[in-house]
Amino acid sequence: MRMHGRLLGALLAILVFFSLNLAVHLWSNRSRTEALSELRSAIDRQLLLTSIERRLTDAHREIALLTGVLAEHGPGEVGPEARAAFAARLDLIAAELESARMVPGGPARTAARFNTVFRDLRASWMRAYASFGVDDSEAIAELALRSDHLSSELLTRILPQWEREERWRVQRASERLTRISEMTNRVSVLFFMLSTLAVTLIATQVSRFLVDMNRDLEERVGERTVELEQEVQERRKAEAQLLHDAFHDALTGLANRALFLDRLGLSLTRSKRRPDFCFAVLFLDFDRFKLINDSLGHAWGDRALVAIARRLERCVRAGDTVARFGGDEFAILLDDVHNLADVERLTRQMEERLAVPLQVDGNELFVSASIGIAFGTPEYERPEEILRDADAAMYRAKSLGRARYEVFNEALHREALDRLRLETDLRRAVQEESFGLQYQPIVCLADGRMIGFEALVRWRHPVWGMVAPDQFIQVAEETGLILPIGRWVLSEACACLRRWQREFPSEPPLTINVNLSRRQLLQADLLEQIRRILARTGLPADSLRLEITESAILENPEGAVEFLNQLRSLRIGLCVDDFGTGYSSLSSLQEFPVDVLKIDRSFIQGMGPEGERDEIVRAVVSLAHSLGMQVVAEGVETEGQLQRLRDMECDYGQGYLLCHAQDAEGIDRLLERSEPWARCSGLTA
Amino acid sequence: MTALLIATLLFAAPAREPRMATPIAVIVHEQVPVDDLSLPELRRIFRGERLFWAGDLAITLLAPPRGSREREVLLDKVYDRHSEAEYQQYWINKLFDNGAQTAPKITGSPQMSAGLVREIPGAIALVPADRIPRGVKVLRIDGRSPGQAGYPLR
Repeated sequence: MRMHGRLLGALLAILVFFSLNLAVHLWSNRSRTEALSELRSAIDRQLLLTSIERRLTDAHREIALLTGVLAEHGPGEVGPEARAAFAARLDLIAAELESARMVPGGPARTAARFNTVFRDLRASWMRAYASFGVDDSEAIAELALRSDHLSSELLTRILPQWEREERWRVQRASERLTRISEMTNRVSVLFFMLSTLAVTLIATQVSRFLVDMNRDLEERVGERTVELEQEVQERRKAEAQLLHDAFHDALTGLANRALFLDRLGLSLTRSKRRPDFCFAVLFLDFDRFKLINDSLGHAWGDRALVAIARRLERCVRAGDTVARFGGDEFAILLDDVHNLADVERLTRQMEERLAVPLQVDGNELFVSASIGIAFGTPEYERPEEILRDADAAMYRAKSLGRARYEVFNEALHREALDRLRLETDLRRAVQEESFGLQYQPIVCLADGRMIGFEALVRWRHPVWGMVAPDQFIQVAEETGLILPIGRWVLSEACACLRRWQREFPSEPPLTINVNLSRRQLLQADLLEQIRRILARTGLPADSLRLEITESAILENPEGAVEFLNQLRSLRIGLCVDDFGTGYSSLSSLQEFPVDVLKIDRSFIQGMGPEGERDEIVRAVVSLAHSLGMQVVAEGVETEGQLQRLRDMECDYGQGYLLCHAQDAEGIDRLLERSEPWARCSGLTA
Repeated sequence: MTALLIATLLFAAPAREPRMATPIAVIVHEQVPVDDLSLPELRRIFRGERLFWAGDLAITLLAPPRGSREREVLLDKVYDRHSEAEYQQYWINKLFDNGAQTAPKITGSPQMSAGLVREIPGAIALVPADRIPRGVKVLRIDGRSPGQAGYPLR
C-alpha cells in the first residue's frame, strides 16, 4: 500500500511538472506571439507611414514644381488629367492612412491629427487645382495661404512626430519581445532545472519503489515457488496414489483386475514372440468365505482377506503377480514356468501353505481355496480368455468338492463352448418364446383325487427337442433370462388353469403350483407382476401356489417374510420346494407363512423296506402337520413308497407312479375322464 | 512624364539679354514687418534660404511670369544671372535634395502679383516700379527706393 502511494505520488508529481512545463510553454508562446504581433503591427504602420510620407512629399513637390518652377506660362497650364492623377495620388495616401488606422494596435494619437490636417490639405490642394486655369490668383492664394501651411505642418511637424511615435512603438515592441524572450527563456531554464531536479527526485523515488517492489516480488515469487513445489509434490503423490489406486486393490494392496489383465496381456504377447515362454493363471475362490463374513462380520472378514493376501504373496516367486478381483476371488499369474507339472507343483505347495491356519486378531482361521488353473499358450488371443478358462476350472474344482485345484482342459473347453451355445440358444428362445409347459398332477394320497398341478417348463430346442429345466434353468438364472422365462411360465400356467377351472369345475377348484427362482424373488415388482397376471387371466388368487426353495427363503429371511406376508394377504399359497436339501429346519420355517411342504424326491426315493429314510419322512410329515402345513411327497415312483406315505398320512404326492407330467392337451384328456386318478394311476381310494 | 516635362522646360527656354528700363520694385504685404532689405537678404529670401519674416510670418514667394521684365531682373540680380533652366534646376534641387517646403509661385501678371501680395500675409513679389498698386508695401533695397539712383534692381 505504501509503495503504491509512493508510485502514485511520483506519477502525480510528473503530471504536475508536465502541466507546469506545458503552461510555461504556452505562456511563452502566447507572449512571444503577442509581442511579435505588436512589433509586426508597428513595423507595418511604419512602412505605411514611410509610404505616406513619400507620397505626400511627392504630391507636395509636384504642386511646388508645377505651380512655381516648371509651369511654362503659369499655373493655368495644369489640365484636368493632371488634376485627376493628382487626386488619385491623394486617394492612395488616404487609403494608406486608413490602412494604418486598421493595423492592429491602433493608430497613434498623432495619426488622428495627421488625418485631420491631411483632410484639410487634400481639400486645399484640390481647391487650388480646381482654381488653376480659372482663377490662378485664387489658386496661388489657396496654396500660399492654406496648402503650403498645411503641407509644411504635416511634413515638418506632424509626420516626424508620428514617425517618432511609430519608431518608439517599434522600439517598445522590440524591447518587449526581447524582454519576453529573455523572461520566457529564464522561466524555461528555471523549469527545466526544476523539472530535471524533480525528475531526478521522482526517478530516485521510483527506483526505490521498484527496488522495494522487486524485492517484494522476489520474496513473493520465492514463497510461491516453495508453495508450488509443495503443491507439485503433493499432486505427484496424489497422482501416484491415484495411479496406484487405479491398478491396485484398496483393501489388500494387491493388483486389481485391470493390472492383472495388463500383465497377463504382456505375458501372452511374450509367449507369442517366444515359443519357449510359458505362463499360467491360477484363479482362487476361497471356500465358504461368506460364512466368515456372516458369522464374524465384514471388518473381520476384511482383515482375513488381508492376511490371505499376504500369505499368497509369500507363496509365489518374485515377479509373479497376485491380484484380488473382489470378494474372496484372487488370481495369480505365474510367469516363465516350464510346464504344467511345474504349475501343479507350485499349486500344491500353495495349498499346503494355505492349510496352515491364519492368525487374525489372535484367532485362528482355517481357509481352503478352490483353484482353477489355465496354462497359457500362444493360441489364446486375449488375456480375458485365459482368465475365463481359469475361472471355469475353478468352478469345476468347486463343483467337485472344493479345496482342490482343477486344470482347464479340453473337456472343460467343450463345456465352456456348450454353455456359450446354450446361452445363445436360450436368448433366442426367450425372444421367440420357444418354451412349453408340462403339468404334473398333484394327487391326494388319501382318496386318489387330483387336486392340482405343478407347472414344469420345457424348452423346445430346434435340434435337441424338448429340454428339461435342469439343463438350462441354472444358465437362465446366471444370465438373468430366468426373469422373462418365469413371467411367461406364470402367465401361461395361470391362463391354462383358469381354462381348466371353467371347463372342468370341481370342489375345491384345481390349483396350480409355479416355481419361483431366487432371482425372481429379488424383483421389486414381482408382486405387481403376479397381481397383473391374475387380473388378466381371471384366476382366483387362492388357486395359485408359488414354490420357493428353502435356500432361497433362508438367503434373505427378512425380505422373504415381507414378501410371503404380501402373498398371504392376496390369499396366494406358498410351498417350500425340495425340503430337506438345504440346511433349514422345520423350526426355522415356522417363522414363515408356509402352506405346503414338498419333501425332496431324494428322501422319498430313499424309503424302502430297510426304512433308511422312512423315519425322516415320517418326522417331517408329523412335524409339518403339527405346524399346520400340508405335505407333498415328490418323486413317488413305487407302490411301496406310495403305501408308506399313505401310512405316514402324507397329504399329497406327485411322481411317475401317480401320473406323468403331460402337456395341456394330455391334461385335457385326463380331465375329460370321470375318474382321472384311477385311470391315470390305476389306484383307488 | 515629370522627367519629360522637366527636360522640355530645361531646354526650351532661350536666354535673353536684360534691358535697361524701368526699375523693378519689391512689394510685400502690408503686415510684413520690414521696410528695407539688402540685396543679399533679398537673394536669401528668393533663394528660399529665409522662410519667415520676423514674428513667425511665413514668407510666400511670388515669381513673375516668364518673359516679363521683372522675371529677367529676378534671374539676373536675385539669382545671380541664372538662366531660366538654371533657375528651374535650382528649385528642383532645392525641393528634392535640400528639403525645401515650398517654391516661388509664378503669377500671371504684375496685377496678379500685386493682388496676391495684398491678399497673402508675408507675400513678396517683384513688379515694375511704374505699376505699383495701392495696398502694398514697397521695400527699399540697400536703402534705396525704386526711383532712386543706385537702386540695384533695374
